[in-house]
Amino acid sequence: MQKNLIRIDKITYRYPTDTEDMTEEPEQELPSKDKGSLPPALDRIDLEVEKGQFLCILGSNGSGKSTLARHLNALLVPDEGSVWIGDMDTRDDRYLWEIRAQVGMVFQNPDNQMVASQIEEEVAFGLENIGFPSEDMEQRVKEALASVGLSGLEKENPANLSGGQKQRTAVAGILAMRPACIVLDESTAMLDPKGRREIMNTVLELNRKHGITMICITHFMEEAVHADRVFVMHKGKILLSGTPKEVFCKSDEILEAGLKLPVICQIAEELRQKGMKIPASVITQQQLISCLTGISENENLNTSDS
Amino acid sequence: MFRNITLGQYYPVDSVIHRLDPRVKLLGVVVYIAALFIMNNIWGFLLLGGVLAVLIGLSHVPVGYMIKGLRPALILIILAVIFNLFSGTGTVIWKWWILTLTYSSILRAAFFALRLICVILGTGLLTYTTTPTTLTNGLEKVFSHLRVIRFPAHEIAMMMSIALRFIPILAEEVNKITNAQLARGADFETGGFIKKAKGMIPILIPLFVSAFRRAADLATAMEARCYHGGQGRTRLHPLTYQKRDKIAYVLILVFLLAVIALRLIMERCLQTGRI
Repeated sequence: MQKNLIRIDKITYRYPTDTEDMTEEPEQELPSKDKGSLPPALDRIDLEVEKGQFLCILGSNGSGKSTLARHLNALLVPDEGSVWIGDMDTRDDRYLWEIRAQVGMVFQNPDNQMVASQIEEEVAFGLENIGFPSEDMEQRVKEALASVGLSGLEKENPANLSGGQKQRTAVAGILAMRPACIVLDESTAMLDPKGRREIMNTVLELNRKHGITMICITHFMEEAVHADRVFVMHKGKILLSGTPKEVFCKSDEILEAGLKLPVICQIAEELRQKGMKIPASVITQQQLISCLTGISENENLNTSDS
Repeated sequence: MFRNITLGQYYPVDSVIHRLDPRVKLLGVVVYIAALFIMNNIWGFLLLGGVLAVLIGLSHVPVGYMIKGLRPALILIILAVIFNLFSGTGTVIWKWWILTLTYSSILRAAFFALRLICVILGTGLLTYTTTPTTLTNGLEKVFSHLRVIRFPAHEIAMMMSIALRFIPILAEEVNKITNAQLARGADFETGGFIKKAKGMIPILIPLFVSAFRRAADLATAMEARCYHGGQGRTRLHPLTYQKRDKIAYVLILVFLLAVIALRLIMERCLQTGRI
């Protein structure tokens, strides 16, 4: 009866004040005067993730979103509070490898997370590490590559792949381990729009078809519109949470968090200010188009009536 | 600068050499290098060159591609030739200041250059026909016998495969940094040796900074994928000997014996003065 896959219970985390360790957290660029008394990177965060959900955590640089991600598979352990993956505490060393096999993570830089010089070896790396039997490994690798749409590239060198393909390889490397959850830590940030679309489509499909829990950490608002739940982080706290519709209504808070509304929401907002009746639930291009065509038809009817 | 670096990079075609077990190829390279130093006459080098040519032919790696791998070592070869050329003894044919040229030194310089070229081509053939992962797999297997004396076979193999993986990435990075510094008005072309060497500093420092950052990222990513050393690790393609590997072992043995025999025969001939 384990309904919640991940339970985060009032965690607080402070980076060591030693500036050397700051390199671990690229987005933690605080002004130098604050270094003496660092504010916590995470400040009493509570979060629950149900199985099969698609979650999006939004935040600007230094909001603590990557730090939060690193707590999900025990790369970091909280100073206070606790993180539970199923019924495993991330602080318990006995479960370390089980947790990391359950919660996979895709990082930002596609080049810096690849170990092998061949795609199939790269995908198999995680399986090799957990001591998966060699006989069944090839099958797993094939399946994983197929589910990210990279079949036939088994022998390719990662250097010859596009950024989007590299990131999909990274996703495949995690999929091969059959995880319950995949965390994408700004995995689209270094990609061009095409690569970004590739990743988002792959992620959506894996979530919908295979029921893999997805936690997407990003500062691109557009990626959040398909999520089941959205969290906006600011200064180590969760500022907003709810469905995309609920969150995108609160434009003031989103601006406060140093983020921008998705373009569609901005357009809708401006049209609303001009006096058009656009419901707050419009957050995708499709919805806006159907809403606008609906309005213009209504207006045509009105004008023809009078 | 490192735009055309091909040393140590896998060339993805299929051939009998590509399919050989890496352990066989490793032994082959070691025996070949040993043979290069056993040989001391022109017939021997012809034999060794011929063997290398046949192997390159079998590997389906283009000859031009192989030759390109020699380029980074060109300075080394030239230096070695110069040092050997002027450090001989015997019949002097030319003398100026402290530089003396003798027949034996010319011969030795030529052999030395040939040896270096063959060593580079031979080891090049190994890395062109073996993926870094397979190669390090092989090294790991070979050296794992030394685990009793706590030799870190897996760690060294892992470091090597990562180093090989990052060569093209860092080479690209060098280009980017060079261009960035050129755009800021850096001058890498003019000036003497010292000035040029100093000019490298604005390239090397950003390169090191970025390499360390990449290393930190990679370590995190590996840890996140359950990497915890060689213990209890399985492999995607575990190494197993095929029939062709056994044949290759026999051929390597035959080759080694032939080389030793040839050297002994040549020496006997020289002694008896019938050459």
